[in-house]
Amino acid sequence: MAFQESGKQRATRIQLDYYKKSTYLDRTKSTLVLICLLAAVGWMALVYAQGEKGQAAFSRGQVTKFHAAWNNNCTVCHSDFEPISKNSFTMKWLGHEAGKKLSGDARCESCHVAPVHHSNQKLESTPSCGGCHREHRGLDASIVRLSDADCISCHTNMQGHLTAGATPKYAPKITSFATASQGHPDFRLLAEKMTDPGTVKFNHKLHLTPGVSRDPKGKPWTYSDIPELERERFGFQKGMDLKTAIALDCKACHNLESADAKPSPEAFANMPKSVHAERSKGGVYQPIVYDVHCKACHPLSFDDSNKNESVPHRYQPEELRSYLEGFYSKQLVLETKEFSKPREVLPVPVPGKNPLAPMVESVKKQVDAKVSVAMNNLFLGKKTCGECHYEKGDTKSTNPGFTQIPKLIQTGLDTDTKAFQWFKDSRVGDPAKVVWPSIPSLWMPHAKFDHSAHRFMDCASCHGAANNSITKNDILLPGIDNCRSCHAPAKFVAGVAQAGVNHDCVECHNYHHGDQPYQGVGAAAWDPKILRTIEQMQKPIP
Amino acid sequence: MLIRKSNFAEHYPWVLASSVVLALAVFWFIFASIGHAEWPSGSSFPGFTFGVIGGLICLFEFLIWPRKKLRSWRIGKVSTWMRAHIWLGLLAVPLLVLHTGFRWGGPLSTTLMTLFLVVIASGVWGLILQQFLPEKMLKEVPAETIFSQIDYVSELMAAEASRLVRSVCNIISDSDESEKFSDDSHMVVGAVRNTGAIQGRVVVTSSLQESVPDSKPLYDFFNEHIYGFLKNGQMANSPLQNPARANSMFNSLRTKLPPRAHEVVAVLEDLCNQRRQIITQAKIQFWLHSWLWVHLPLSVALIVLMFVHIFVAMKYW
Repeated sequence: MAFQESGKQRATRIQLDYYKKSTYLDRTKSTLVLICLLAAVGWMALVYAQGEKGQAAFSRGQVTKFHAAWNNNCTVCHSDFEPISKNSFTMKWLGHEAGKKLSGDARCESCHVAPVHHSNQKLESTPSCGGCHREHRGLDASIVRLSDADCISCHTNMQGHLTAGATPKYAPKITSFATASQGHPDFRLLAEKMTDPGTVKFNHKLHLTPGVSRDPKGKPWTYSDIPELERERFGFQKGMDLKTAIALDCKACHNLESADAKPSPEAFANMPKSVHAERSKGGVYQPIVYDVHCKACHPLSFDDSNKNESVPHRYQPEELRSYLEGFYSKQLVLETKEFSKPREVLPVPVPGKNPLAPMVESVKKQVDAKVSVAMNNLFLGKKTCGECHYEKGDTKSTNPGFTQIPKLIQTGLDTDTKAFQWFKDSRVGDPAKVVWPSIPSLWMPHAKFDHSAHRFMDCASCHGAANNSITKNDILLPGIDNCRSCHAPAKFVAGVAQAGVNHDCVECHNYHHGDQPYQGVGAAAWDPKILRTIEQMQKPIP
Repeated sequence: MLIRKSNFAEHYPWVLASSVVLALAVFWFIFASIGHAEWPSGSSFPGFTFGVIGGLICLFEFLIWPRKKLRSWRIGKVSTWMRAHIWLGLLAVPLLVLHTGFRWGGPLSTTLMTLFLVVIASGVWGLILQQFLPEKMLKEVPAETIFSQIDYVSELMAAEASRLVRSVCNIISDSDESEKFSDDSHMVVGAVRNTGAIQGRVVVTSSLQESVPDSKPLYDFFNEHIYGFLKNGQMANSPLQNPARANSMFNSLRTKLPPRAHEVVAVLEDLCNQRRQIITQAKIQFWLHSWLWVHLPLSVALIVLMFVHIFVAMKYW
C-alpha cells in the first residue's frame, strides 16, 4: 500500500527548519566581516610590530619640512597623555595642572630657545610652544604664520594677562588691524609726534628738486659737476647733455641691495664691509653712506690748490689734522729740492747739528699753515663737514656749518691750548665732537616691513611727504591708514575691488622678537644651551 | 525601511532633532573659527565634542547588528532602532566632517574617514534600494518564496513536474529522484492564483492523471527544456527564461499533442512561469541584501580603528 500523504503534509512546501539555513548572501557577508576584522586588527598589529617606523600611521599629517626628520617619531615632540598645548581643555582630563609648563616645551627648546614675548606677562598667559606653532599641517605649511586669535587672546585684554602691578605698555585692547576702531594704534613715531633722531641735516625737498639748487634762478647742479664714474647712478644716460640738470629720485640714495646701488669701484673699495655689506636680505634699505650716496656732489675738498684731493670721511677733527699733516708733509718734502739732493752735496754737518734742520723747520711752519687753512676750510665753511653734521651741543639747528668748532680752531692749535686737547680727545664716533649721524636703520623695532615686497610701488604713494620736507626732523613714515589702503579686508568701493591683502598680526609682527629676531635685544636667547651631533639630533630627547 | 509621505510622521521627530543638532554644530563651528586662519581641528573643544558625539553615534549604529540578532531582547522596537540608525547615521556625517576640520589627516584618520564615508554611502544605497525593490517584488513576483528555500522549492517543482509528465507519458522509473517527494495517487503543485486584486502562490493538490497516448513529444520536451530549467533556473541557460519564447514553445508543443495532454502542458507552463518569478526574486534579493557586504564588514573595521584612533589621540594629544 502506498504512503498516503496528509493534507498538512502536502501543504508543507517549505522545510520546517528553513530559518536555520543560510544563503550565499549571509555566508559572503560573514566572510567579509571576518576579513575586514582581521585586516583592521592585522594592520594595527603590524604598526605595533614596526615600532618607531610604524608610528607614522598615527600621525594626523606630515610635519613641516623643517621637522620632517621626525615624521615617524611621535615621542620627539609628544609626551604620553600630555597635551601639546598647555591651554588645551584636556589638561585636567589628562591629569595635568592647568597652565603649568609642559615637558613637551623642553623638547622644543632643546633646539629652539626664544626670548619671552614680554617680561611682565603672566606665566599662565604664556602659551606652550605647540599651543601656537601647530604642526602636522603638511610639509609646506608654516608653523609661524599664526592666526590673529592666538594674539588677540591676550591683546584684547592686555591688563588681564600682565603680572600684578604691571600696566600695559602698548594698546590695551586690540581686536584686529582691519579698522582703526578695532584698537590697533598708529605707529608710535607718529602717534607720539616724535622727530627723526638722526643727526644729519638733510633737506629732502632740495634734493628732489631738479638741479638741486636752493635758488630757483641759481646755477643748477649738472652732470658735468660730478665725477664721470658717478653720473650713471644719478640718472645720466648715454647721449644726454652733460649740462642737463641732475634730477634725483628716491633710488639715487635709497637702495635695497648693493647690486642696485652701483657705487663707484674706488668708493666701494675704500668702504668698510661692516658699513656697507655687498648683499643684504633686501627687506630694508641699506644705510645711507657718504662714499656712495653723497661724495659725488659733496666732495670733502680742503685746498683750492689741490682741487682733486679730499679728506676721508668719518674722521674726527684730530684724525683729520693728522691726515692733513701727513698729506702736506709728504707734498712739501717732495717739492723741497734740498730733501732730494744727494747727501754728498749737502754742507758738511757740524757735530750736533742737522744740516737739514732749517729746512725741516721751514716745512713744519708751512705744513702748520696749510693745515690751519685746510682745517678752516673744512670746519669753518658751510659746504663740507658742517654742511651735514652737527657738533656737540647742537643737534637741532637746520643751518649749515658749525659754531663751537670754529671758535676752538680759531684759538690756535698750540699744544697747550684747550683746542688742542679737544682735538686730541677726538675719536671716531665720539659724539662729543662731530656728532655721529645716528640714522635709524629700523624705524619700527616691534614690527617688520619688507620694502622689497613693495618695490613695484611709487615711493611717493607712501612717502609723498618727502617732496616737501625741508628739515631732518620730519619722520617721513606714512600713517597706518595708508597701510590699510591695501592691508585690510577686501571691499568694493564704487564697484571697484579694493584692499584684501594680508592684514593679520603676523604679517607685521613677530611674537618672540621684533623685525630682526637674530639681532639686537633677545637675539642671544635664541642660542640653544646644548649643541648636538647629527646622530644625537635624530634621536628623541630623553 | 520605507520612508514615504504616509509614514513620514514617524520619521519627523528624528529629522527635526538631527537638523537642530546639525544647525547648532555648524553655528558653533563657525563661531569657533572666527579669527583663526584655519578651521578648528579635532583637538579643539568643538572639534572634540563633535568627535565624541560622532563616535557615540557610530557605536550606536553598530549596535543595530546585535540588536537584530537578538530579537528577543526587549530594548525598543527594531523599527525605532532602524529609524534612529538612519537619521543619526546621516547626522554623524556632518558632525564627523566638522570633527576633522575638513582635513584628511594621516594614514589612520584618512582610513577612518574613508571607511566611514563608504559605510554611509553603502547604507544610503541600501536605503534607496529598499524604497522600491520590495514593491517591485510584490508586483512582479507573486510566486515569491522564502529566499533560503529557493533551491529546495525549485527541486520540488522539478520533481512534481517530472512525476506529472511520467504519469501522462506512462514512463516508470524507480530511480527517478522525483519519487522522494511523491506518493502514488496524488500530486501537489504550486500555482499562482488571482483573487480580485490579490495575487499569490497557492498549493494545488490533484490526482495523478492517466496516461495519454502519443504523448512522447511531451516527454521529450520536458527532458530537453523543462526539467533542467525548473531545477537549475538561470544556470540551465534555457530559452524558457524568456516569457515570449516560452509561450511560443509551449504553443508549438500543444500542436504536437492530443487535446487530453493540454491540461498537463498548462500546468508545466505555469510551473515555468513560477520558476521565472523565482529567478527574478533571487535577483531582487541580491540587490536588497548585497549592499550589506560593504556596509557591515567595513563597519566592523571602522569600529576597531575608531577605538585605536581614540587611544592614539589621547596619548598624543
